[in-house]
Amino acid sequence: MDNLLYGRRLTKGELPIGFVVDDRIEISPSVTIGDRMIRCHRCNSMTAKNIASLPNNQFFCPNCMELGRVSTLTNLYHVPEPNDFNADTHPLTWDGQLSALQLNCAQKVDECMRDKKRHLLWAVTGAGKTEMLFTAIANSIARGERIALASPRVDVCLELYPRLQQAFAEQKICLLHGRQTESYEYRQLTICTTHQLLRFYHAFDNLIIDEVDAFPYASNPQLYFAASQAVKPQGGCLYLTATPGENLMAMVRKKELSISYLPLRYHGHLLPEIKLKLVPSWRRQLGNKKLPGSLIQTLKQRLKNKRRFLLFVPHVADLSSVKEGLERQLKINVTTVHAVDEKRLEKVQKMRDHEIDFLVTTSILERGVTFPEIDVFVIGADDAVFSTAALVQIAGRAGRSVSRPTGDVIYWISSFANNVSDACAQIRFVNRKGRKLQH
Amino acid sequence: MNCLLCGTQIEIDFNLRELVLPMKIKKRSICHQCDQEFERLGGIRCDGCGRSQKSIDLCEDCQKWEHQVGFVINNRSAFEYNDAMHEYMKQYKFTGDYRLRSVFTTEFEKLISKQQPDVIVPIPINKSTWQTRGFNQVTGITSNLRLIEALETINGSKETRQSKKNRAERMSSKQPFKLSGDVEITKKISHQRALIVDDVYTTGRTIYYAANLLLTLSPMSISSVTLAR
Ligand SMILES: [Zn+2]
Ligand SMILES: [Zn+2]
Ligand SMILES: [Zn+2]
Repeated sequence: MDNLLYGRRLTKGELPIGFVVDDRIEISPSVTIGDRMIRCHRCNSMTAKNIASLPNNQFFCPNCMELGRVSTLTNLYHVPEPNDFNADTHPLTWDGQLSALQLNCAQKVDECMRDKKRHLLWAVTGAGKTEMLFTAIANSIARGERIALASPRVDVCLELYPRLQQAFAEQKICLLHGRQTESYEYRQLTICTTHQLLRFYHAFDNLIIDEVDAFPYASNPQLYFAASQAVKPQGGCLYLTATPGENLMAMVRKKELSISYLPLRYHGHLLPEIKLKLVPSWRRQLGNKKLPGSLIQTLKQRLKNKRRFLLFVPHVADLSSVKEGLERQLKINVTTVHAVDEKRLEKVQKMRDHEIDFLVTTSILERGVTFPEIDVFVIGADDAVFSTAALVQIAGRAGRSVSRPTGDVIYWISSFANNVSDACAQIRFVNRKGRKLQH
Repeated sequence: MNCLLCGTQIEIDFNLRELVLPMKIKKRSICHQCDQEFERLGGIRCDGCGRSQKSIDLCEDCQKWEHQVGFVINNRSAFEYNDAMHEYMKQYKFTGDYRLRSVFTTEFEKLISKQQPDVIVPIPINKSTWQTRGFNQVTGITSNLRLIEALETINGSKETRQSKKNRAERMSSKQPFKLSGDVEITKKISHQRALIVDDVYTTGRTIYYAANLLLTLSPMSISSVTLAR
């Protein structure tokens, strides 16, 4: 239990009963009181006093309560990270091969982590970025460093964990996220949600944040703070993304971050570019359970040629009328799926098993779920529910396999909105970089 | 403003009366959907503990109380302790989200004033709860009422949470309270209609202990109101 506080900051409630507070432990307030606001030292948020108030002139932070409440009644307990590891000099048990491009990128990542840089790796969807981290992580472990691989999304963590555990078979990896019951262990390599980083303080020599653009990280300054605080003052931070948002690019412009690109997918092809079709009145048509003629034509052709596809719609509420319209106009059965669909996994599996040839879905399938050899269509892509990042990710669902490295990506829009033009521009930008590498 | 329970944006539905009398607009702290998850108690109930049943006759539990302590407390509760209430209590009491104190204030205070009490006595919390949670969950909810803090917890009484005990353990727990040492406070109880307020009525054990003590101050009557049961 001695190492529980190494590189972390915990409240008394998070410590085991009977925990002895000795003089190695640094104690600091978790919430301090200002004039009109209080400041939380765990999540760095400021809250108006009247919202954060408790009786007797005490205050709590309402912004990080998922981790257990902090307040003026609780202190934070911390022991500086001692890097108390028996470092394995050859921890990598993975024996796969990287392509020449991936190898190049892997070396760059290795350099960054060696030099503790703050770096952004912009790698397109399907570039195979996890494998490119292995050498750098192995070398970091061999140097006796403490490393974390964090993602805003639990599902990404759950997917990374077995892959990393297999690649580093002798290492015991600590996995942390909000939905678990396993307890914390002091390990050289940690995989966690970015939220869990709030419990760390100057712990990591290198922190890697995967899918950094994903909700909720992208728009959450609290989690940027968590990341910067979890890393040692001289530590390195590597951001990985397929769709960098404005925040990150601004940091690149201000030279707070260095940047490198992997603009080609693992099979060496470019991202498919988005074709746009303007259908200003599609919403009104949908009210009469009718879909645009060009969409119907496109789908008919795909069905005839047995080309499988995903059709994205903006809202769960659109699914039923799109289904009804398609079933009437195409005379086929339509399967729809959304985030809280009870039969979601079952339906996705049917698609994988080729029992059905297409799915009509909301943006929930944008990440993680991949089907080979598909085309991707969006109706109402200009709807504000689709972020630029989501639109790029959706496009990235097409052309994932070597057997069919290209695919059609067509977005039907009612007007030219910023999210759509930004997504098109982002794809054209990486493809320009990609073309240079292809020749 | 976002719903304090689920975080979604609350749509304000103005009705005509509210438009005419803008002062009347009630600030809602939870959304309509969350609100519907809570089950308001009404209808025919046990004349003692207030549970819903077919007649107003004393239920078995209340008969046991009558047998054991010689009297029955008339208790009324605003809500059924269902899953939604359980979640609310978890978030409010155990996570300590003090913002949630206002969610049921209006309804709870209405039920209290319906009993027409002269003095309202809250169930106190112990010292260690003051040090960790930092608030009394009952007095948090009843922020607009004048409360007479005639009861205190006994220091050093065992600090296991009631909610972590089973029924038998609750029933056999020792008297956790004592009367306030302040005579100015305790004398306010005598010859008055006293009402005990608590957050949840489970076995009645807590309220009967509180009532036992208050009885020694010769009130005119004692009844109780809890937020949930
Ligand atoms: Zn906080
Ligand atoms: Zn709600
Ligand atoms: Zn009863």
